[in-house]
Amino acid sequence: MSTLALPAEAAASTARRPARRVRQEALAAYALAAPAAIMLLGILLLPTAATVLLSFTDWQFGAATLNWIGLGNYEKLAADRVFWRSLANTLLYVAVVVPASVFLGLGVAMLIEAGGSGRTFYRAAYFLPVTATLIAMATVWEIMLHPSVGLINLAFDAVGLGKHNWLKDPALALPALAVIGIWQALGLNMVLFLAGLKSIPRDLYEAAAIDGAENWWDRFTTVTWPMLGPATLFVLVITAIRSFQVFDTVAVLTEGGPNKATDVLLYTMYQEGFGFFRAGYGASITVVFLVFVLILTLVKARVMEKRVHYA
Amino acid sequence: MSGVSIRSVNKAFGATRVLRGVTLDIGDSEFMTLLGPSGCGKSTLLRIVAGLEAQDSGSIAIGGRPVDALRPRERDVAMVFQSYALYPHMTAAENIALPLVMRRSRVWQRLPVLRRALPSARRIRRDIAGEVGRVAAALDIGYLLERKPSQLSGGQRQRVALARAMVRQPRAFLMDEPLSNLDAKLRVQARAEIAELHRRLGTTFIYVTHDQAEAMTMSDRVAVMLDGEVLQCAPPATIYDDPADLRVAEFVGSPKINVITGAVGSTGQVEIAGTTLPLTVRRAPATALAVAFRAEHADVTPCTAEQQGALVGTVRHRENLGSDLFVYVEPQPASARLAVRLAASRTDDIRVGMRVAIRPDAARVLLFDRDGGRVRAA
Amino acid sequence: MTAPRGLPFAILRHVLLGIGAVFMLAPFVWMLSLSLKPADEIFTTDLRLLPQRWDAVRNYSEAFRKVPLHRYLLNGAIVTATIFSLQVLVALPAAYALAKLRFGLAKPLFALVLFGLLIPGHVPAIPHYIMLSSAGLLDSYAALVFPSMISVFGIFWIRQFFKTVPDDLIHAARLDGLSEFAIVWRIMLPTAAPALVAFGIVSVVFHWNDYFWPLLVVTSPDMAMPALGTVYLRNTEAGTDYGPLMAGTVIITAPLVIAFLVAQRRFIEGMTLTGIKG
Repeated sequence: MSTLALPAEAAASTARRPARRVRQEALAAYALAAPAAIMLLGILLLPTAATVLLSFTDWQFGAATLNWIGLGNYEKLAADRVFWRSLANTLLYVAVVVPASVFLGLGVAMLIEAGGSGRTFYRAAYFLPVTATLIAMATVWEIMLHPSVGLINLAFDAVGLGKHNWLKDPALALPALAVIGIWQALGLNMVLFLAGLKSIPRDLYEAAAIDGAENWWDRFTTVTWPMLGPATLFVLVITAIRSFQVFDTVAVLTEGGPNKATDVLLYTMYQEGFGFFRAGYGASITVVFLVFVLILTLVKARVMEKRVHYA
Repeated sequence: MSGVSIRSVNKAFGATRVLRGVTLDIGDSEFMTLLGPSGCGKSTLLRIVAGLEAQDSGSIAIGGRPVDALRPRERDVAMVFQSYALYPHMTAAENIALPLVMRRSRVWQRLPVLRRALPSARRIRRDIAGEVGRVAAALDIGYLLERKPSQLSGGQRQRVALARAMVRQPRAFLMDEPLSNLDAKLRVQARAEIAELHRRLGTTFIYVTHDQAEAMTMSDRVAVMLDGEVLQCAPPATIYDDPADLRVAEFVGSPKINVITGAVGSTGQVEIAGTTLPLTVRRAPATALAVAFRAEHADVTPCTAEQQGALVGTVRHRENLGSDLFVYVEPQPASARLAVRLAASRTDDIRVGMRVAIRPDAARVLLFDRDGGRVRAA
Repeated sequence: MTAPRGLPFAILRHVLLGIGAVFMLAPFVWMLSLSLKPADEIFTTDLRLLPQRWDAVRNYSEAFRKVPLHRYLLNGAIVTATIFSLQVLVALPAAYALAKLRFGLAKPLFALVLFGLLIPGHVPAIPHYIMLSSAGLLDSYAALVFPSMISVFGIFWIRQFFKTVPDDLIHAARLDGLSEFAIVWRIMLPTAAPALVAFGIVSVVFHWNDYFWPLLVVTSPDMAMPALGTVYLRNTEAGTDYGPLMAGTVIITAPLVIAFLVAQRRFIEGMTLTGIKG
């Protein structure tokens, strides 16, 4: 057996060498992460900061000058009835779409899971609207909501509820858009709940049955609901975030009308910023929008920390 | 010459010191096993030799050349991982070929179209395919070459991982618990195969394991590691029979070595539990000693009267393994149970609940001081 | 759920789910049905699924004549493919560095990624518009692609996936002679295939269906993305001839709907990720 001693001088000179290898790894990491870091700053974070800064100015697209007007835009917002209307509409839309699509999604998921037959078909049928182009389907809905020949009015008429001019009636336009919103959001919530239901161990139902929970309501209250509760919170929040961003159906079907009855935050922002070219004012609406979404997202982050996630 | 020399290597992860000045010389073509419980730093040491981790201080030389500044691929060592680390998207053949492909071809020769178009690239690929075939034949995995790792059993994956390490004829093989994912039967078979592979290749092997059977059966020398230090580095028989440290004695051997507290008597004789062993040491009287003996180095007899050099206790449990009988005795005064191995034929003599006397073979008793250092009988 | 339930429950289940399914599928069925009918059959109050006189050929050819539908499909394919490729090209190396390499700014960078996840795409739209307009790039593929070149969600998601790849695989690659760059493309890319498929579905579905951004930057009829193209088609129809409009919407929705029906499981897995994306 030969042992190999290092010459003393070599040992001394290599003492700092491992540090160089640590640096090599870091260098490679910086090279790999640099494009993403630069784009993250240049495309997302700095423009977002620019939006916030812009909201403190009176700049208009194409204008040569801009003035710092501090909270001027926000004071204007506070006094702007259109803005308040649009905020109220957005919140109302969220308040209708979120509970309806979440609890219908839960109901559908439980019904699908409760039996063996037709699972794949039902799952596909309810999920289809999630992938279909919403703008294209909105034009279909428009025809279905047509005052004289629309499928929905034909159905309403047949059961004696009369015909309605859904999208032109200030009282009905927002509910009509909410129905489309529910139709589109339900499928995603359903698959999230299906995943949640699948992750409930079967033994729990067996244990509950032995402990005397025999009908479906007992099973629901002793096992399903407690196991699904946190997941439901998560689904509620993400549905809220998504429906807060409602824009497509409003822009195509009602253009905020009739008489501002369906004006929503993003649509107001679009009109102020790109219709009337008031970039500063549009930016301040964007900031309000961002604040709401941030609050919801932070709630979501708290929920996710409690280890409620599906991916 | 491709021995591996490890000089005063230190490594800490945050506040945890994983290696404390480890120095170890592994000879050319030696089979060295790093043995220790999990968390003792043996895997970290192996990764430092491979260049996958950087040590905080100290140095590594392979074949007499310092390698501290070299990247893993420049060190010319191959490694077999516990999880085998086969590339899941490549076939067995592609897995085995990859180290050769990376070494022998230039970047443009690996580009999707040129790889097939360039004559030079095709020649390299043909050569590599030949070598992959030879290694695969040597390990009997020729028929598996076109399969993906997910289509292979644990034992087959382990061979593919071995083949990938062998194919480029490295200066040293590093193995990180390569058998621990195999079932017990396969492990015994693979143990013999790796030992045979070492004899055939004549390359330096550094083998990390927590399994003492692997260490004992395969190695030229075993380095027992605990808490980031090498406690003893010696041939397997020495580790077992002549441990330098109480922790080595306790880690090696199954059942665990029996340890009882004793003391040095007025004339240097060793006393335990009121009896005196026929041993003397050059230590001050009343020095505390740990007296250790292995299960097979003692005898048990039904206790009739007080006997010289004997420990008295009650049999609490027996295990008849067919070939051997293990008897577990609770000594008096009560302390940790003592295990003794007897011939299976004595099953009828020794029963649970029986009072017995244990008589350690004084020639085989091992003595340690309070710090765990070995104390030799005069 | 364990207790076997009787026939009445099975019937009730199918009735309830069936009614719901009719509601969910009605727009699709109605769209297809109208795309086959002549105008006078659309403007009638009797309900019929199939036309009495088939007018599919006229409706579909009319849709293509009114607006360049094929351009919208092509634009959709080019832009979504470019966006996805760029997102992977940028995200994969960064995700690998964040998941597996040690470097001083790893934590701040990851914090920025998490922060970026909070920001909806609409927020930087005004500055993006200003940047593209001053660069003279409005109404181009570059404008359509620009804001989506980086996907924070992609970086986050691939990084989470890479965290589950054993370090040993990377160690083996380093010993086998691969550079960090080669590890990213030769080992991590194929290993991440399932995660990339899921992410790809999210990315393509989102950008194919996106209306907001194309609405802002596209002005010429030829540059529209599929969603915006549908609106162009709708705007050409001032009167009542819904047949071609429905034919057009069938064409625009067909690629994703067919892809979904072919690969349902993957689509559903992929789209559930949007839960994290928000």
